[in-house]
Amino acid sequence: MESYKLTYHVDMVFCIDATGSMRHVLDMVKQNALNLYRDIAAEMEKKHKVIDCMRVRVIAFRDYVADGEDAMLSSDFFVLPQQAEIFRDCVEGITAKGGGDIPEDGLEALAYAIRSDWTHVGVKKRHIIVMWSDAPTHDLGHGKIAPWYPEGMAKDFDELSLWWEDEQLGGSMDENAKRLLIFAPDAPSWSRISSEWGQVIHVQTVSEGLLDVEYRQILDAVCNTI
Amino acid sequence: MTDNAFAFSRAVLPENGEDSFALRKNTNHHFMCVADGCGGLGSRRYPALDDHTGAYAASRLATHMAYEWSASQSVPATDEGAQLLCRTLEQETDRLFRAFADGKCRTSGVRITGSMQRCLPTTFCAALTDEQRACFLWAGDSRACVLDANGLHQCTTDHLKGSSDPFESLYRDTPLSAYLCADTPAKLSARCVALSSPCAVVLATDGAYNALPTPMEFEMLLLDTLKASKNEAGWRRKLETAVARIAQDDATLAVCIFGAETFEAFRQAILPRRETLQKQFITPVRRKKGDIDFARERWQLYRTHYDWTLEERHG
Repeated sequence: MESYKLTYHVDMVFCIDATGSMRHVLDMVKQNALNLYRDIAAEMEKKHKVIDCMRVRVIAFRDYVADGEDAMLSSDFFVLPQQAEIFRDCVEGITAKGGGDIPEDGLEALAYAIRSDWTHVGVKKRHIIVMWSDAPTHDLGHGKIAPWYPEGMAKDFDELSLWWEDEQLGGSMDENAKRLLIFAPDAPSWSRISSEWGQVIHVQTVSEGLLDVEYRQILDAVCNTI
Repeated sequence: MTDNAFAFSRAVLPENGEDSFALRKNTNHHFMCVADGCGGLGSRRYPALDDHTGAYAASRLATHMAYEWSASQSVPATDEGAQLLCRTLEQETDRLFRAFADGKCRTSGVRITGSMQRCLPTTFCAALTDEQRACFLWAGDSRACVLDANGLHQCTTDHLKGSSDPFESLYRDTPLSAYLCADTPAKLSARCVALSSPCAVVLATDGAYNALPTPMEFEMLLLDTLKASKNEAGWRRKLETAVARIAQDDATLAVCIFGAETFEAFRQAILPRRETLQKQFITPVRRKKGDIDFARERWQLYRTHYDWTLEERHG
Protein backbone atom coordinates (compact mmCIF):
# COMPACT_ATOMS: atom_id res chain seq x y z
CA MET A 1 0.00 0.00 0.00
CA GLU A 2 2.38 2.69 -1.21
CA SER A 3 1.68 6.29 -2.03
CA TYR A 4 2.39 7.52 -5.53
CA LYS A 5 5.90 8.93 -5.44
CA LEU A 6 5.52 11.57 -2.79
CA THR A 7 9.03 12.93 -3.10
CA TYR A 8 9.87 16.61 -3.15
CA HIS A 9 11.57 18.69 -5.79
CA VAL A 10 13.14 21.70 -4.07
CA ASP A 11 14.36 24.80 -5.91
CA MET A 12 16.00 27.66 -4.04
CA VAL A 13 17.10 31.06 -5.32
CA PHE A 14 19.50 33.01 -3.13
CA CYS A 15 19.46 36.78 -3.67
CA ILE A 16 22.49 38.39 -2.04
CA ASP A 17 23.08 42.12 -1.69
CA ALA A 18 26.69 42.51 -2.80
CA THR A 19 27.13 46.25 -2.26
CA GLY A 20 29.88 47.87 -0.21
CA SER A 21 27.79 48.24 2.94
CA MET A 22 27.50 44.45 3.13
CA ARG A 23 31.28 44.13 3.49
CA HIS A 24 31.19 43.47 7.25
CA VAL A 25 28.46 40.80 7.01
CA LEU A 26 28.95 39.27 3.58
CA ASP A 27 31.12 36.40 4.82
CA MET A 28 28.40 35.48 7.33
CA VAL A 29 25.69 35.70 4.66
CA LYS A 30 27.71 33.52 2.28
CA GLN A 31 28.22 30.95 5.01
CA ASN A 32 24.50 31.05 5.82
CA ALA A 33 23.68 30.51 2.14
CA LEU A 34 26.02 27.54 1.95
CA ASN A 35 24.56 26.04 5.14
CA LEU A 36 20.90 26.81 4.47
CA TYR A 37 20.28 24.35 1.66
CA ARG A 38 21.81 21.55 3.72
CA ASP A 39 19.79 22.51 6.79
CA ILE A 40 16.54 22.67 4.81
CA ALA A 41 17.28 19.28 3.28
CA ALA A 42 18.02 17.83 6.72
CA GLU A 43 14.89 19.37 8.24
CA MET A 44 12.66 18.02 5.47
CA GLU A 45 14.25 14.60 5.82
CA LYS A 46 13.59 14.72 9.57
CA LYS A 47 9.92 15.27 8.72
CA HIS A 48 9.95 12.32 6.30
CA LYS A 49 9.78 14.63 3.27
CA VAL A 50 12.12 12.90 0.87
CA ILE A 51 13.92 15.23 -1.54
CA ASP A 52 14.31 13.75 -4.99
CA CYS A 53 16.01 16.75 -6.55
CA MET A 54 17.42 19.97 -5.10
CA ARG A 55 18.64 22.91 -7.17
CA VAL A 56 20.04 26.28 -6.11
CA ARG A 57 20.51 29.47 -8.10
CA VAL A 58 22.42 32.59 -6.99
CA ILE A 59 21.65 36.23 -7.77
CA ALA A 60 24.06 38.93 -6.56
CA PHE A 61 22.62 42.42 -6.84
CA ARG A 62 23.74 45.99 -6.42
CA ASP A 63 22.50 49.26 -8.00
CA TYR A 64 21.85 49.70 -11.74
CA VAL A 65 22.71 53.40 -11.67
CA ALA A 66 25.92 53.07 -9.66
CA ASP A 67 27.31 49.71 -10.70
CA GLY A 68 26.82 49.28 -14.43
CA GLU A 69 26.95 45.74 -15.72
CA ASP A 70 27.86 44.43 -12.27
CA ALA A 71 24.46 45.51 -10.92
CA MET A 72 22.81 42.12 -11.40
CA LEU A 73 24.77 38.89 -11.65
CA SER A 74 22.94 35.61 -11.76
CA SER A 75 23.76 31.95 -12.18
CA ASP A 76 21.77 29.08 -13.61
CA PHE A 77 20.41 26.49 -11.21
CA PHE A 78 23.04 24.21 -9.72
CA VAL A 79 21.90 20.64 -9.08
CA LEU A 80 22.93 19.58 -5.59
CA PRO A 81 24.85 17.74 -4.34
CA GLN A 82 26.35 16.97 -7.78
CA GLN A 83 27.32 20.60 -8.45
CA ALA A 84 28.00 21.58 -4.85
CA GLU A 85 31.58 22.63 -5.57
CA ILE A 86 30.59 24.97 -8.42
CA PHE A 87 27.82 26.39 -6.25
CA ARG A 88 30.32 26.99 -3.44
CA ASP A 89 32.74 28.70 -5.81
CA CYS A 90 29.92 30.88 -7.13
CA VAL A 91 28.92 32.03 -3.63
CA GLU A 92 32.51 32.46 -2.47
CA GLY A 93 33.22 34.58 -5.53
CA ILE A 94 30.73 37.29 -4.54
CA THR A 95 32.50 40.45 -3.36
CA ALA A 96 31.07 43.49 -1.61
CA LYS A 97 31.54 46.65 -3.64
CA GLY A 98 29.71 49.63 -5.09
CA GLY A 99 26.07 50.36 -4.38
CA GLY A 100 26.09 54.16 -4.59
CA ASP A 101 23.35 55.58 -2.38
CA ILE A 102 21.83 53.70 0.57
CA PRO A 103 18.88 51.91 -1.12
CA GLU A 104 19.70 49.09 -3.55
CA ASP A 105 17.89 47.33 -6.39
CA GLY A 106 16.62 44.47 -4.26
CA LEU A 107 13.18 44.51 -5.90
CA GLU A 108 14.70 43.91 -9.34
CA ALA A 109 16.63 40.99 -7.86
CA LEU A 110 13.41 39.66 -6.41
CA ALA A 111 11.75 40.00 -9.82
CA TYR A 112 14.54 37.98 -11.41
CA ALA A 113 14.17 35.36 -8.70
CA ILE A 114 10.40 35.09 -9.14
CA ARG A 115 10.88 34.56 -12.87
CA SER A 116 13.42 31.78 -12.43
CA ASP A 117 12.99 28.58 -14.38
CA TRP A 118 11.30 26.81 -11.46
CA THR A 119 10.89 23.08 -11.55
CA HIS A 120 7.41 21.81 -12.28
CA VAL A 121 8.52 18.19 -12.10
CA GLY A 122 7.27 15.97 -9.30
CA VAL A 123 4.12 15.90 -7.26
CA LYS A 124 5.26 17.95 -4.28
CA LYS A 125 7.59 20.92 -4.51
CA ARG A 126 9.20 23.80 -2.70
CA HIS A 127 10.05 27.00 -4.57
CA ILE A 128 12.04 29.05 -2.09
CA ILE A 129 13.51 32.54 -2.53
CA VAL A 130 15.92 33.76 0.13
CA MET A 131 16.88 37.44 0.17
CA TRP A 132 19.75 38.94 2.17
CA SER A 133 20.15 42.73 2.23
CA ASP A 134 21.16 45.34 4.79
CA ALA A 135 19.43 48.16 2.88
CA PRO A 136 16.03 49.45 1.83
CA THR A 137 15.18 49.22 -1.86
CA HIS A 138 14.82 51.75 -4.61
CA ASP A 139 11.41 51.90 -6.22
CA LEU A 140 11.22 49.58 -9.19
CA GLY A 141 12.41 51.40 -12.29
CA HIS A 142 14.77 53.73 -10.42
CA GLY A 143 17.64 52.37 -12.50
CA LYS A 144 15.84 52.70 -15.84
CA ILE A 145 18.17 55.46 -16.90
CA ALA A 146 20.99 52.93 -17.00
CA PRO A 147 21.43 51.32 -20.43
CA TRP A 148 21.82 47.88 -18.87
CA TYR A 149 18.47 48.05 -17.06
CA PRO A 150 16.51 44.98 -18.19
CA GLU A 151 13.59 45.00 -20.60
CA GLY A 152 10.34 43.52 -19.35
CA MET A 153 10.97 44.29 -15.69
CA ALA A 154 7.90 44.71 -13.47
CA LYS A 155 7.04 48.38 -13.82
CA ASP A 156 6.10 48.98 -10.20
CA PHE A 157 5.50 47.29 -6.85
CA ASP A 158 1.92 46.37 -7.75
CA GLU A 159 3.02 44.49 -10.86
CA LEU A 160 5.75 42.72 -8.90
CA SER A 161 3.09 41.76 -6.33
CA LEU A 162 1.06 40.17 -9.13
CA TRP A 163 4.12 38.24 -10.27
CA TRP A 164 4.41 36.85 -6.76
CA GLU A 165 0.77 36.27 -6.04
CA ASP A 166 -0.53 34.91 -9.31
CA GLU A 167 1.05 32.23 -11.44
CA GLN A 168 -1.10 33.37 -14.36
CA LEU A 169 -0.08 37.02 -14.11
CA GLY A 170 3.62 36.93 -14.73
CA GLY A 171 5.07 34.59 -12.15
CA SER A 172 5.98 30.97 -12.63
CA MET A 173 6.13 29.84 -9.02
CA ASP A 174 3.83 27.09 -7.81
CA GLU A 175 1.33 28.74 -5.50
CA ASN A 176 1.42 25.91 -2.99
CA ALA A 177 5.19 25.49 -3.08
CA LYS A 178 6.45 29.05 -2.95
CA ARG A 179 8.09 30.58 0.09
CA LEU A 180 9.91 33.92 0.43
CA LEU A 181 12.42 34.27 3.24
CA ILE A 182 13.77 37.80 3.71
CA PHE A 183 16.71 38.76 5.90
CA ALA A 184 16.56 42.54 5.72
CA PRO A 185 15.85 45.57 7.91
CA ASP A 186 12.41 46.91 8.75
CA ALA A 187 12.52 49.19 5.70
CA PRO A 188 9.51 50.25 3.57
CA SER A 189 9.58 47.76 0.67
CA TRP A 190 10.62 44.78 2.77
CA SER A 191 7.99 45.50 5.40
CA ARG A 192 5.32 46.02 2.76
CA ILE A 193 6.16 42.66 1.21
CA SER A 194 6.13 41.09 4.65
CA SER A 195 2.67 42.42 5.45
CA GLU A 196 1.00 42.20 2.02
CA TRP A 197 2.37 39.13 0.25
CA GLY A 198 1.40 35.59 1.09
CA GLN A 199 3.86 32.93 2.25
CA VAL A 200 6.56 35.33 3.43
CA ILE A 201 8.76 35.22 6.49
CA HIS A 202 10.76 38.38 7.27
CA VAL A 203 13.70 38.26 9.64
CA GLN A 204 14.29 41.92 10.37
CA THR A 205 18.06 41.85 10.36
CA VAL A 206 20.88 40.71 8.18
CA SER A 207 23.72 41.67 10.50
CA GLU A 208 22.80 39.98 13.76
CA GLY A 209 23.38 36.28 14.23
CA LEU A 210 20.23 34.30 14.89
CA LEU A 211 19.73 32.29 18.03
CA ASP A 212 19.35 28.58 17.49
CA VAL A 213 15.68 28.80 18.46
CA GLU A 214 15.10 31.51 15.83
CA TYR A 215 16.89 29.54 13.14
CA ARG A 216 14.74 26.48 13.93
CA GLN A 217 11.64 28.68 13.69
CA ILE A 218 12.66 29.74 10.19
CA LEU A 219 13.47 26.21 9.04
CA ASP A 220 10.12 24.95 10.35
CA ALA A 221 8.26 27.74 8.58
CA VAL A 222 9.95 27.01 5.25
CA CYS A 223 9.78 23.23 5.41
CA ASN A 224 6.36 22.58 6.92
CA THR A 225 3.03 22.72 5.21
CA ILE A 226 1.20 25.96 5.99
CA MET B 1 -11.83 7.03 26.63
CA THR B 2 -15.62 6.75 27.12
CA ASP B 3 -17.31 3.35 26.82
CA ASN B 4 -17.94 3.52 23.07
CA ALA B 5 -15.38 6.13 22.08
CA PHE B 6 -11.64 6.28 21.81
CA ALA B 7 -8.90 8.46 20.41
CA PHE B 8 -5.16 8.48 20.00
CA SER B 9 -2.38 10.72 18.73
CA ARG B 10 0.84 9.57 17.19
CA ALA B 11 3.69 12.10 16.93
CA VAL B 12 6.72 11.95 14.63
CA LEU B 13 8.76 13.55 17.44
CA PRO B 14 6.92 12.43 20.59
CA GLU B 15 8.15 15.31 22.76
CA ASN B 16 7.03 17.87 20.17
CA GLY B 17 3.77 16.42 18.83
CA GLU B 18 1.55 19.18 17.47
CA ASP B 19 -1.74 17.22 17.42
CA SER B 20 -4.24 17.00 20.25
CA PHE B 21 -7.68 15.55 20.97
CA ALA B 22 -10.42 15.50 23.61
CA LEU B 23 -13.39 13.21 24.30
CA ARG B 24 -16.27 13.79 26.65
CA LYS B 25 -19.50 11.96 27.38
CA ASN B 26 -22.00 14.60 28.38
CA THR B 27 -25.50 14.03 29.74
CA ASN B 28 -27.25 14.18 26.40
CA HIS B 29 -24.51 13.91 23.82
CA HIS B 30 -20.99 12.78 23.05
CA PHE B 31 -18.31 15.33 22.33
CA MET B 32 -15.07 14.69 20.44
CA CYS B 33 -12.53 17.02 18.91
CA VAL B 34 -9.12 16.89 17.25
CA ALA B 35 -6.67 19.67 16.44
CA ASP B 36 -3.46 19.88 14.46
CA GLY B 37 -1.15 22.78 15.33
CA CYS B 38 0.11 24.39 12.12
CA GLY B 39 3.84 23.73 12.29
CA GLY B 40 4.81 26.12 9.50
CA LEU B 41 2.72 29.09 10.59
CA GLY B 42 3.22 28.43 14.28
CA SER B 43 6.94 27.67 14.29
CA ARG B 44 7.82 30.43 16.78
CA ARG B 45 9.03 29.08 20.12
CA TYR B 46 8.15 30.76 23.41
CA PRO B 47 10.20 30.76 26.62
CA ALA B 48 7.00 30.74 28.72
CA LEU B 49 6.00 27.50 26.97
CA ASP B 50 9.31 25.76 27.72
CA ASP B 51 10.44 26.66 24.22
CA HIS B 52 7.61 24.72 22.63
CA THR B 53 6.18 26.13 19.41
CA GLY B 54 2.97 28.09 19.09
CA ALA B 55 1.62 25.19 17.03
CA TYR B 56 2.27 22.78 19.91
CA ALA B 57 0.38 24.98 22.37
CA ALA B 58 -2.44 25.93 20.01
CA SER B 59 -3.79 22.45 19.36
CA ARG B 60 -3.82 21.68 23.09
CA LEU B 61 -5.44 25.01 23.89
CA ALA B 62 -8.16 24.42 21.29
CA THR B 63 -9.07 20.92 22.45
CA HIS B 64 -8.96 21.87 26.13
CA MET B 65 -11.16 24.89 25.51
CA ALA B 66 -13.68 22.92 23.45
CA TYR B 67 -13.79 20.12 26.02
CA GLU B 68 -14.80 22.57 28.76
CA TRP B 69 -17.20 24.44 26.49
CA SER B 70 -18.99 21.28 25.35
CA ALA B 71 -20.29 20.43 28.82
CA SER B 72 -22.96 23.10 28.61
CA GLN B 73 -23.96 22.47 24.99
CA SER B 74 -26.30 20.08 23.21
CA VAL B 75 -26.69 18.81 19.65
CA PRO B 76 -28.57 21.52 17.75
CA ALA B 77 -31.89 20.56 16.18
CA THR B 78 -31.61 22.88 13.18
CA ASP B 79 -29.03 24.45 10.90
CA GLU B 80 -29.77 27.78 12.56
CA GLY B 81 -28.99 26.16 15.90
CA ALA B 82 -25.71 24.87 14.47
CA GLN B 83 -24.76 28.36 13.32
CA LEU B 84 -25.53 29.71 16.77
CA LEU B 85 -23.39 27.01 18.32
CA CYS B 86 -20.63 27.96 15.93
CA ARG B 87 -20.76 31.61 16.98
CA THR B 88 -20.55 30.75 20.68
CA LEU B 89 -17.49 28.58 20.11
CA GLU B 90 -15.88 31.29 17.97
CA GLN B 91 -16.35 33.79 20.78
CA GLU B 92 -14.91 31.40 23.32
CA THR B 93 -11.95 30.73 21.02
CA ASP B 94 -11.24 34.43 20.52
CA ARG B 95 -11.39 35.13 24.23
CA LEU B 96 -9.18 32.26 25.29
CA PHE B 97 -6.60 32.44 22.48
CA ARG B 98 -6.06 36.17 22.98
CA ALA B 99 -5.74 35.81 26.75
CA PHE B 100 -3.29 32.93 26.33
CA ALA B 101 -1.25 34.84 23.76
CA ASP B 102 -1.08 37.90 26.00
CA GLY B 103 0.12 35.81 28.90
CA LYS B 104 2.45 33.28 27.31
CA CYS B 105 3.46 34.27 23.83
CA ARG B 106 5.95 37.03 24.42
CA THR B 107 9.35 36.88 22.74
CA SER B 108 12.50 38.93 22.62
CA GLY B 109 15.39 38.95 20.18
CA VAL B 110 15.21 39.36 16.42
CA ARG B 111 11.81 40.35 15.06
CA ILE B 112 10.47 37.71 12.71
CA THR B 113 7.28 38.71 10.91
CA GLY B 114 5.35 37.95 7.72
CA SER B 115 2.31 36.11 6.51
CA MET B 116 3.92 32.76 7.34
CA GLN B 117 4.04 33.60 11.04
CA ARG B 118 0.91 33.41 13.16
CA CYS B 119 0.34 33.28 16.90
CA LEU B 120 -1.12 29.95 18.08
CA PRO B 121 -2.38 28.60 14.73
CA THR B 122 -4.20 25.27 14.69
CA THR B 123 -6.78 23.36 12.72
CA PHE B 124 -9.78 22.16 14.68
CA CYS B 125 -12.63 19.72 14.15
CA ALA B 126 -15.30 18.83 16.70
CA ALA B 127 -18.39 16.62 16.75
CA LEU B 128 -21.38 16.90 19.06
CA THR B 129 -23.37 13.73 18.54
CA ASP B 130 -26.37 11.83 19.83
CA GLU B 131 -27.98 8.68 18.43
CA GLN B 132 -29.77 10.55 15.64
CA ARG B 133 -27.66 13.52 14.64
CA ALA B 134 -24.15 14.85 14.50
CA CYS B 135 -23.10 18.48 14.39
CA PHE B 136 -19.60 19.19 13.14
CA LEU B 137 -17.68 22.42 13.76
CA TRP B 138 -14.34 22.92 12.06
CA ALA B 139 -11.60 25.18 10.76
CA GLY B 140 -8.83 23.91 8.48
CA ASP B 141 -8.27 20.43 7.13
CA SER B 142 -8.97 18.23 10.13
CA ARG B 143 -11.92 16.10 9.03
CA ALA B 144 -15.12 14.56 10.30
CA CYS B 145 -16.49 11.42 8.67
CA VAL B 146 -19.29 8.96 9.32
CA LEU B 147 -18.68 5.23 8.83
CA ASP B 148 -21.89 3.27 8.30
CA ALA B 149 -23.07 0.17 6.45
CA ASN B 150 -22.76 2.05 3.14
CA GLY B 151 -19.18 3.09 3.69
CA LEU B 152 -17.23 6.11 4.83
CA HIS B 153 -18.65 9.58 4.28
CA GLN B 154 -16.73 12.81 4.65
CA CYS B 155 -18.92 15.49 6.21
CA THR B 156 -16.56 18.46 6.38
CA THR B 157 -15.03 20.44 3.50
CA ASP B 158 -11.33 21.09 3.99
CA HIS B 159 -10.54 24.80 4.23
CA LEU B 160 -7.81 25.01 1.61
CA LYS B 161 -6.69 27.72 -0.80
CA GLY B 162 -7.84 26.27 -4.10
CA SER B 163 -9.37 22.85 -4.62
CA SER B 164 -10.45 20.90 -1.55
CA ASP B 165 -10.89 17.65 -3.51
CA PRO B 166 -9.88 14.99 -0.96
CA PHE B 167 -8.01 12.94 -3.57
CA GLU B 168 -6.09 15.78 -5.17
CA SER B 169 -5.12 17.31 -1.85
CA LEU B 170 -3.21 14.11 -1.03
CA TYR B 171 -0.72 15.10 -3.72
CA ARG B 172 -0.37 18.80 -3.00
CA ASP B 173 0.81 20.88 -0.04
CA THR B 174 -2.10 23.25 -0.43
CA PRO B 175 -2.04 26.06 2.15
CA LEU B 176 -4.94 26.31 4.58
CA SER B 177 -7.54 29.01 3.99
CA ALA B 178 -8.85 28.92 7.57
CA TYR B 179 -7.54 27.95 10.98
CA LEU B 180 -7.83 29.13 14.55
CA CYS B 181 -5.22 31.56 15.86
CA ALA B 182 -4.80 34.48 18.25
CA ASP B 183 -4.21 37.07 15.51
CA THR B 184 -7.58 37.09 13.78
CA PRO B 185 -11.18 36.36 14.81
CA ALA B 186 -12.07 32.66 14.71
CA LYS B 187 -14.14 31.53 11.75
CA LEU B 188 -15.62 28.05 12.06
CA SER B 189 -17.85 26.18 9.66
CA ALA B 190 -20.77 24.10 10.89
CA ARG B 191 -22.67 21.18 9.43
CA CYS B 192 -25.30 18.84 10.81
CA VAL B 193 -26.00 15.37 9.41
CA ALA B 194 -28.57 12.70 10.20
CA LEU B 195 -27.04 9.40 11.32
CA SER B 196 -28.23 5.97 10.29
CA SER B 197 -27.68 3.32 12.95
CA PRO B 198 -25.34 1.78 13.56
CA CYS B 199 -22.44 3.99 12.63
CA ALA B 200 -19.20 5.48 13.88
CA VAL B 201 -18.24 9.15 13.81
CA VAL B 202 -14.57 9.48 12.93
CA LEU B 203 -12.45 12.62 13.33
CA ALA B 204 -8.97 12.72 11.80
CA THR B 205 -6.09 15.13 11.42
CA ASP B 206 -4.35 15.22 8.05
CA GLY B 207 -1.47 13.05 9.27
CA ALA B 208 -3.91 10.14 9.56
CA TYR B 209 -5.68 10.36 6.21
CA ASN B 210 -2.82 11.89 4.18
CA ALA B 211 -0.60 8.89 4.80
CA LEU B 212 -2.64 6.75 2.44
CA PRO B 213 -2.58 6.95 -1.36
CA THR B 214 -6.35 7.33 -1.82
CA PRO B 215 -9.37 8.19 0.36
CA MET B 216 -10.60 4.62 -0.35
CA GLU B 217 -7.57 3.24 1.46
CA PHE B 218 -8.47 5.24 4.55
CA GLU B 219 -11.84 3.51 4.69
CA MET B 220 -10.09 0.18 4.12
CA LEU B 221 -7.77 0.90 7.03
CA LEU B 222 -10.78 1.46 9.30
CA LEU B 223 -12.51 -1.72 8.09
CA ASP B 224 -9.43 -3.95 8.14
CA THR B 225 -8.66 -3.02 11.71
CA LEU B 226 -12.33 -3.33 12.68
CA LYS B 227 -12.44 -6.81 11.18
CA ALA B 228 -9.47 -7.88 13.27
CA SER B 229 -10.87 -6.49 16.54
CA LYS B 230 -13.04 -8.01 19.27
CA ASN B 231 -13.84 -4.83 21.14
CA GLU B 232 -13.33 -1.04 21.11
CA ALA B 233 -10.01 -1.30 22.89
CA GLY B 234 -8.75 -3.78 20.31
CA TRP B 235 -9.91 -1.57 17.44
CA ARG B 236 -8.13 1.37 18.99
CA ARG B 237 -4.89 -0.61 19.39
CA LYS B 238 -4.97 -1.96 15.87
CA LEU B 239 -5.77 1.41 14.37
CA GLU B 240 -3.00 3.06 16.31
CA THR B 241 -0.50 0.42 15.20
CA ALA B 242 -1.59 0.73 11.58
CA VAL B 243 -1.44 4.53 11.62
CA ALA B 244 1.97 4.50 13.32
CA ARG B 245 3.26 2.24 10.56
CA ILE B 246 2.22 4.53 7.71
CA ALA B 247 2.02 8.09 9.07
CA GLN B 248 4.69 10.55 7.97
CA ASP B 249 3.31 13.37 10.08
CA ASP B 250 1.65 13.72 13.48
CA ALA B 251 -1.63 11.82 13.24
CA THR B 252 -4.75 11.76 15.40
CA LEU B 253 -7.96 9.76 15.18
CA ALA B 254 -11.05 9.98 17.37
CA VAL B 255 -13.86 7.45 16.97
CA CYS B 256 -17.28 7.11 18.60
CA ILE B 257 -19.75 4.29 17.89
CA PHE B 258 -23.51 4.90 17.85
CA GLY B 259 -26.66 2.83 17.44
CA ALA B 260 -25.28 -0.61 18.32
CA GLU B 261 -25.98 -2.55 21.49
CA THR B 262 -22.58 -4.21 21.39
CA PHE B 263 -19.30 -3.85 19.54
CA GLU B 264 -19.99 -7.16 17.83
CA ALA B 265 -23.35 -5.87 16.58
CA PHE B 266 -21.55 -2.85 15.16
CA ARG B 267 -18.98 -5.08 13.45
CA GLN B 268 -21.66 -7.30 11.97
CA ALA B 269 -23.52 -4.32 10.58
CA ILE B 270 -20.50 -2.54 9.09
CA LEU B 271 -18.16 -5.29 7.87
CA PRO B 272 -20.18 -6.50 4.84
CA ARG B 273 -19.18 -3.20 3.25
CA ARG B 274 -15.53 -4.29 3.32
CA GLU B 275 -15.99 -6.84 0.53
CA THR B 276 -17.62 -4.30 -1.79
CA LEU B 277 -14.94 -1.75 -1.06
CA GLN B 278 -12.19 -4.23 -1.73
CA LYS B 279 -13.65 -5.47 -5.00
CA GLN B 280 -14.61 -2.12 -6.46
CA PHE B 281 -12.00 0.27 -5.21
CA ILE B 282 -9.04 -1.32 -3.43
CA THR B 283 -7.91 -4.32 -5.45
CA PRO B 284 -8.26 -2.68 -8.90
CA VAL B 285 -6.25 0.36 -7.82
CA ARG B 286 -3.59 -1.68 -6.03
CA ARG B 287 -3.20 -3.87 -9.12
CA LYS B 288 -2.42 -0.77 -11.16
CA LYS B 289 -0.01 0.51 -8.54
CA GLY B 290 1.42 3.87 -9.53
CA ASP B 291 -1.26 4.61 -12.12
CA ILE B 292 -2.57 7.79 -10.61
CA ASP B 293 -4.99 8.45 -13.46
CA PHE B 294 -6.69 5.10 -12.88
CA ALA B 295 -6.83 5.79 -9.14
CA ARG B 296 -8.37 9.18 -9.91
CA GLU B 297 -11.03 7.54 -12.10
CA ARG B 298 -12.01 5.14 -9.31
CA TRP B 299 -12.01 8.00 -6.85
CA GLN B 300 -14.63 9.81 -8.92
CA LEU B 301 -16.87 6.74 -8.64
CA TYR B 302 -16.17 6.30 -4.94
CA ARG B 303 -16.77 9.95 -4.28
CA THR B 304 -20.47 9.78 -5.10
CA HIS B 305 -21.02 7.82 -1.88
CA TYR B 306 -18.12 9.23 0.10
CA ASP B 307 -18.65 12.94 -0.21
CA TRP B 308 -21.50 14.11 1.98
CA THR B 309 -20.36 17.68 1.53
CA LEU B 310 -21.83 17.67 -1.98
CA GLU B 311 -25.40 17.10 -0.88
CA GLU B 312 -27.90 18.29 1.66
CA ARG B 313 -28.11 15.91 4.60
CA HIS B 314 -29.85 17.80 7.30
CA GLY B 315 -29.72 16.36 10.75
